[in-house]
Amino acid sequence: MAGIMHRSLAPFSVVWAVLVASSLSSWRIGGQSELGSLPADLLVVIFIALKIHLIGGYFMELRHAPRLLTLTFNLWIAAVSIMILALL
Amino acid sequence: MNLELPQRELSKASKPEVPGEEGVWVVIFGEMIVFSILFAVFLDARQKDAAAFEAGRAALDLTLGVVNTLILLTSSFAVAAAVDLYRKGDAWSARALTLVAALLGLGFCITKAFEYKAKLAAGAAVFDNPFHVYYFLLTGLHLVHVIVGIGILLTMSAYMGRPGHPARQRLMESGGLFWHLVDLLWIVIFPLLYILH
Repeated sequence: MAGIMHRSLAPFSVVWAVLVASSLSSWRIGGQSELGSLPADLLVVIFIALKIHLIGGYFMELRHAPRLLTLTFNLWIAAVSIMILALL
Repeated sequence: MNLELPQRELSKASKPEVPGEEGVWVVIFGEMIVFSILFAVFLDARQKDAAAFEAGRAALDLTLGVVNTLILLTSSFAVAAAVDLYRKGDAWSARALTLVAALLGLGFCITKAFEYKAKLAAGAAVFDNPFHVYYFLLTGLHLVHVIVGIGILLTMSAYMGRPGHPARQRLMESGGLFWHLVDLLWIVIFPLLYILH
């Protein structure tokens, strides 16, 4: 399985590590006793946005896609993030 | 590595290309919109019955939710790597990674089954709390997408026997994109149900 050690997989690995770290951080924030405070919720939503942005950009390869497609995708992220914060 | 097959090089140097088949993005955005409407409905319902929803949330198994998140993130990593390796002619590794992703997807379903079993152990009374209606609606609809996604991954791996031409590479990208959709939807659903309040 030498192909798996291909250097070009490094970006995916880095993205995966960031995704996992973000998820564990959100879990940690969620486990804190001062749940429901705005800063904690804001941080969790920021992590949601960051993670989806990374999945779209790197895993879904939107980095190399036409700008309009990428913009639409990121607009959805922004809209959902704002909606969650507004309705918390 | 077979260097004779034309490859779709998605690199900074080349012209921007739509990943996968263009039609798959209609599906992807369509699903994203449908789910965001469901998210809005859930958030609105929660505002109106905060105590009940919080009670429901607090009773969820956060650890299982995190496990499922890590499972999907890792499976997306595997799929992204698989598609990339397939484009580069390493069909064997691509197939192996796609199967790993499908197995992880199965792991998600099994974890979900445990969660559902625990929840439904109390019987239909669980739906006295409106939170659980939304819980099963959101996670259930998502689970259907996971199952469809696993089917797509298995189909992809079946066709990954040999490196393919750009048209086939594009199909693999499309299948991968659907799986990333499954992943990104859970990235919202998990905190929405299990963490935020």
